[in-house]
Amino acid sequence: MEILNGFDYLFSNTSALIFVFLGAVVGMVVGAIPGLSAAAAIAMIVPATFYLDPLSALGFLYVIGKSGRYGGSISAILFNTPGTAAAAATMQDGYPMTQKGQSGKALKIATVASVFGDFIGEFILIFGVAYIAAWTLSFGPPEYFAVYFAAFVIIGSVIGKSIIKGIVSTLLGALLSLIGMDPITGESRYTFYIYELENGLNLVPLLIGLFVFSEILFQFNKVLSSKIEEISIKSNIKSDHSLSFSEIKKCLMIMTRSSAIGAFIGMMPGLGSAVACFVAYGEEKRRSKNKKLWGTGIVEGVAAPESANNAVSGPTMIPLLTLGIPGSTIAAILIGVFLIHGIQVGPTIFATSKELVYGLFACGLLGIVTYGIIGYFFGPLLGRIIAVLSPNMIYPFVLITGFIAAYSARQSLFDVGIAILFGVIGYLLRLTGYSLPALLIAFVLARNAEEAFRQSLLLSEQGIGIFLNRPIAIAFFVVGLLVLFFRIKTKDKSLEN
Amino acid sequence: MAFFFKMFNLNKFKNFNFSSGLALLMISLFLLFDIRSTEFSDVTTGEGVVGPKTAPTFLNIGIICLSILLIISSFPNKNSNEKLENIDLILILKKVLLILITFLYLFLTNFIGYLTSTLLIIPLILYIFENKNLKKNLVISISGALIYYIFFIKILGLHNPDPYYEIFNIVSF
Repeated sequence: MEILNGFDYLFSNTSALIFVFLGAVVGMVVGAIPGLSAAAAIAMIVPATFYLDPLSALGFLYVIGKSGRYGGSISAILFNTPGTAAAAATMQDGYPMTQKGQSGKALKIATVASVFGDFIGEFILIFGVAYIAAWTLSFGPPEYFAVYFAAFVIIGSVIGKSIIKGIVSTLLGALLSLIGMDPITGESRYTFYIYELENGLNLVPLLIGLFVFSEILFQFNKVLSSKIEEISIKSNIKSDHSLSFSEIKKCLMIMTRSSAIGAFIGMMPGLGSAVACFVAYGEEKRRSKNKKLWGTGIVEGVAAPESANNAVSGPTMIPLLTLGIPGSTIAAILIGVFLIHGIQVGPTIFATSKELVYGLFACGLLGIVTYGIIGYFFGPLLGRIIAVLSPNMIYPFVLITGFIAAYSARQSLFDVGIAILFGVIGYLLRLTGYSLPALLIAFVLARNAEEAFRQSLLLSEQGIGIFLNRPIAIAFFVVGLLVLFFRIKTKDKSLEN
Repeated sequence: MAFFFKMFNLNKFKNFNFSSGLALLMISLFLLFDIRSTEFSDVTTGEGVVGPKTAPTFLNIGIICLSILLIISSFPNKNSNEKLENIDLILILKKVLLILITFLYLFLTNFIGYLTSTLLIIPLILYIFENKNLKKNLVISISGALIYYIFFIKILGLHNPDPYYEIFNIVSF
């Protein structure tokens, strides 16, 4: 039971314990603020984690991602505005429950379902990841290139509404990663005689530009026009504020099925919580005998999306830890943090940093318990605090924080300029329908993909024929192309309909 | 403004396939030309099969092909009756102003140091976000700038960007 060693490692590190608790609180608050995503918060916090030990840094960010997904449900239920995209389906029944004076019950079932889903996802990660990693240990450069190719094609084609724009986003991200010195010959590419670009674009300013500054520009009109208002329908019936055991029992199968859906979707690169919550909600509504009640404010309608969106969290780490491929924006940021702390992500991580990996899993489990307890007892209070905070007061300080966070990564004002520039580029790309997560994931992966490609050809005596001699590589190429093919087919069908 | 949009028939750009496709096409053509015209050594990759040019060339060709597809896909929308909705010129100008202020913040930080520039910039940003109570903005700016300065520069130990003008070292302590 390696996870017990992970707990041992975690409990021997007081700083990590404190940061797990902090991560749970920060994630909930950020997740609950509409428009401010957990990814944006993590992007701003990344530079501060440079000064921490690897377990504290990674545990902190990992737990923010988890509790951020849960925090989104608070504003979805109380204000009919999802704090994150992952909580969009929760509004369907969560807000009607608030309108009926049952906000306390809705928040409690959201907490129970999120904790349930997150535990399922985390257990799948803990017990499945080492087996997959052992299998991928035999991969050489050709297999890795095939894996990267499949990841690019899958992420590019499934992540956005437009397949072409999704793939273009991936290619743009890959192109950006090539700025700087060539990894094999050391010659400069696309630096345009700018000295600061010789080492390539730094991940932190790029993250802050794409996910913080562009978000501020994107949310600008909403911030000016919106005011969070908590609905003040109070019920005097005690059972409206509490959650009975029979209600939890009623939702148990729903939460189990939804968690399985979430965990499966989490393993697919490019899909994520936002997809999982709608798939689970739709599936449970379809199975329900009382379909008409869905959308009117029932606990099942909150339990299904909440368990699904949190079950995504653990399994998104499977492709990251076994193949070095991030399946989501937060995983892409985490890969950067691993590298900053000198840890190479991939199957060898279980040989080189086993203690850290299982310590991180322990952080995840402890984080779930922490946000579960805080959310169950203090969720409504957090909602009231968020309602007091005005978005047009929050966003200016998000911008100022983003500015200093971009500077702090390398203590370079050039990086701040890069962040602002990518804020504008990111805003224009989002406005025109391109995918920023696809761009970021490709940016993180492309250098390794290029190296794998070139190393494969160096090993080869028959040029690109080396890929055809490797069955696993062929399988990954085929998987990538099949996903693209089916995506085009389903897109055509949806257009016809 | 309506005349401007009519003149350039921007309605056909509503889904942004044409405009973004064209922009990407031009950028990737430039980047392709740049990488092809740069001389690299291919010594370490053996027989010059694959070198520093290969990946950028493939990626740029991919973007060129897809941006042409995007441009082509925008043509059926040319005669669409869809209209550009809710173009709020003031909102666009405010966004441009916000971007310019952020660049100004960068410029000022370089010249007058972090604390002074933050003190000056926060009220401007608050005002753009329609916080119009000047007294409140001033109090928030001073306390905000001090908190940021103490937390990031003093506690976290970030290097305070040296002001270009020495006099601002006094206020940037």
